[in-house]
Amino acid sequence: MNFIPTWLRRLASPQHFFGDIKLWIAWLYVLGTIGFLVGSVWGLAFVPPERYQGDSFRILFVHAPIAHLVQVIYISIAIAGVVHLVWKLKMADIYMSAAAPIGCWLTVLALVSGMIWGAPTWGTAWVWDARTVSTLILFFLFFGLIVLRRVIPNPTRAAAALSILAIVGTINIFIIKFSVVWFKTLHQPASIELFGDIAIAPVFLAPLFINIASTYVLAAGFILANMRYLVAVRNVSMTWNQEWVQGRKQ
Amino acid sequence: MMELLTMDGHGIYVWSAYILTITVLLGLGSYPFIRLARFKQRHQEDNEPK
Repeated sequence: MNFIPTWLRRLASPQHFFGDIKLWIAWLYVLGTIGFLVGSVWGLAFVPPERYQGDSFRILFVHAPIAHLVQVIYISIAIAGVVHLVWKLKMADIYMSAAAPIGCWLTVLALVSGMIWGAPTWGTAWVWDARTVSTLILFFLFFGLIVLRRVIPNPTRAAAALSILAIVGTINIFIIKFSVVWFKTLHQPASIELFGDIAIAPVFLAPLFINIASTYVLAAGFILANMRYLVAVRNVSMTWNQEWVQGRKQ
Repeated sequence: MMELLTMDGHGIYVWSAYILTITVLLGLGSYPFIRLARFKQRHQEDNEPK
């Protein structure tokens, strides 16, 4: 795998990861927080109310980025699952264990913020339609990944089980994505397509894109911070870890 | 200012969504550091001579 840069290969070693990633996490936290504050304040105070939804549409500046982000987190876990099954990379296993709880909590946030938006907009907080149900299934998939890790005592088997569930569960991501096309749902179709038209007024796009970018950056920081904790726990007997515990290493 | 808070009757929904989001993000951001600090403290105590 010579195409992988040296700095990235270095991060595959738990010892180097633990030391090197600290600065990355700090930068991701700072940039993500600044971006999220700018995007949110912009969306809350500096854009006009939407013509049909009024002010309740401002919830979408947090709901839409999080709802999109959780799907990307799940796909990244599935990719880590493939990497673990093919190359038996320990860091891929740690990634899956670190990202699953972040994805689980953010899916709860996507569901609840969607319900808060639905109450004034749809007249109901919850409908059993394809988009909401498939997102609820995504929550159970994340929860399943966390539970699997805890109930299987053998770490190798647990990692393999996690990988398989993550890979199989990607079917649900396609269902979430196309649920508004395949089924008759109350949830509106995608407003932004990668290779299609944008159905959002330009005045709303800047805060939305800032919040999408900053939630990605924040989630990357959270996952890396969680990975750093897991690296410390799983390498407790290592000399470098002992030195860190005793304060001889930062 | 009141207009920003009430948002034509939608303020309760909008602000609760933002407060919830910030709470979850703060929790997710701080929890790994809290766990790591606890882990370090526990192992420092274990390594102390009795």
